[in-house]
Amino acid sequence: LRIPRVRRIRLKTLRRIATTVLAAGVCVALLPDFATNARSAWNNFIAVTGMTAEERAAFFRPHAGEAILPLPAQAAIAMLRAEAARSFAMTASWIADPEIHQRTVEGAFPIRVSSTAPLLVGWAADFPPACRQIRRFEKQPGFPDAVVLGACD
Amino acid sequence: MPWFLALAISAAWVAIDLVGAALMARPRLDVDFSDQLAIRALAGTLGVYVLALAAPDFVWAAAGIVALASVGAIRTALAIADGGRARRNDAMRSAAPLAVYLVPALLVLAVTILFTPLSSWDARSIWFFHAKMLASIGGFAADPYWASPEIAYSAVGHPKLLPAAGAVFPAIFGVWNEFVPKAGLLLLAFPLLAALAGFARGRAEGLVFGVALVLACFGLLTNGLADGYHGAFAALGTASLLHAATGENAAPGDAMRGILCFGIALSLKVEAMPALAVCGASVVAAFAMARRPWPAFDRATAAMACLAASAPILWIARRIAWGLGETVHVNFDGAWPSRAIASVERWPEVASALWGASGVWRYAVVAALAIAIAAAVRRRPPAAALWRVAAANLYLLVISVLYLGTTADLRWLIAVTFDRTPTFASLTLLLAAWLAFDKATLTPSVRA
Repeated sequence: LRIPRVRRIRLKTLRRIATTVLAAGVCVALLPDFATNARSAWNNFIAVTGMTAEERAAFFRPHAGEAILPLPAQAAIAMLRAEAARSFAMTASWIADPEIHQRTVEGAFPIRVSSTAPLLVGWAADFPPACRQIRRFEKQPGFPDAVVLGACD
Repeated sequence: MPWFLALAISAAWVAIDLVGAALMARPRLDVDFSDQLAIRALAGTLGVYVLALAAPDFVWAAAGIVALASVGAIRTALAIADGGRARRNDAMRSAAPLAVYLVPALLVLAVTILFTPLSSWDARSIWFFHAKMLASIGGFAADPYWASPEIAYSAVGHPKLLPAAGAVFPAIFGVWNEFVPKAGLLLLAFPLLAALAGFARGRAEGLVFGVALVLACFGLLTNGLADGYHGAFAALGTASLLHAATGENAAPGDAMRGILCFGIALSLKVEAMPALAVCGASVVAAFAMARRPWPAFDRATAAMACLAASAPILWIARRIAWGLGETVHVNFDGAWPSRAIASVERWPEVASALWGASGVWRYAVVAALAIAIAAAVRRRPPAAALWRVAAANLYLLVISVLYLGTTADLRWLIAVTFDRTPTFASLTLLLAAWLAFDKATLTPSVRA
């Protein structure tokens, strides 16, 4: 008994679809990353398409998104920019916290770090008394202390 | 601004494709259309990076890119004019499913990339800090700050393909924030998706698999880390070169695609070196066991190999010129073998993190299931899949030994990297699963 050619093609196509669906099902069941990432991508897509043009444009303004930085680093960067600094140094206690130290260095660039710079960033509590305080960012909830920018000769 | 950025991203993709067209030998009739696009995108990405590395600044690099893209545009126009109606129709037929796959995949990636801020530690401390420096300095001109001890924590010796991509749009628009630089990731996503399409020869099942592979490492492709791209390019490079070595499922573009994928992987992260060593060992073993005659290594493939090698070599030359010397990696140095031997009793701790906690075991289960089904259907184990399973496990073994020799605290290193270092292994196992199914049940004759 010969099965007509069209019938054979349909069976083959159905088998391919069934195998692909089965393989996809096994992958989704065994690899939770798939479902999590797909959901995350979809949620982002819905959130962005639901924004107004003005809200979307806000993502492309200079310094947008800096709220992601730790508050003390934000304060230090803002003070350095306000002083139009070209370079700065940091106190030992500021450098001791790797997150605050690294976020300040990266966020402040093109203001460069130099241990010999006349401007010094640090916590108020252990700020060298020999240095003159130029700007001060008062202690906020979540801050261990006030942030100080000073000039050292 | 969003529309200008979208326009600039599209223009950059076209420029990459045209630079690739200028660098390629004459289009080969035996190379599939999707593979041609893959090779153009991969070669174009490397070509643009090599120009940026070789030029004194981004302005000179841009002039070189425009000149090469013009050559590529003329060659493409001539190829279209020479091709005749039949070839043009063939190309259009091949382009349609590619567009259906590439455009939505890039759009989904773009939404997450552009509208989520840079938050991963290494993305900020290493990759996009270097991008900020490149954008501010205006290219790869020497600057003493690179060698400053104040920023030594940021592993300045790492390759600069991702930072260079991250610097493109801030340099064009003069804006630095936590979103715009990430648009550079789309310049790496384009050759990656094109390479996946080339690997799948543009077939629907292969493109579905491409989407699956993107979903498997979606977070790592969108958060600004190099690990997702490095792992995916190295996995595709290994898979392509194993195709070329064994002759199973092989196509004429496999060797070229594999070599270019490794050129990009080596320009993304120094961790591509162990992946390349594992790939080399697997390819030699697979080739020896396949008992095939030595494959013809044509001039076009040799030219692509030179292009792939020139990017890491140029970066090493820049690194030496900048006085960065040996600071390739902050957590490893030349004395790792003795440290690895000394701490060998901690290997189970590393192994359980890399194979277990990272979730690689799940991919291994999927691959094992696929291989078992394929072996039952074909009455012999699928060699293509088995070679990739071996490569994935060998890579994890090499990485685990490297971990033991770290200069950093081992527990800390495992805690901060175990979820992203094995990306190459996870994706290679996923490729193994697909290849087992592909050969066994979906398409009996890929070359047909």
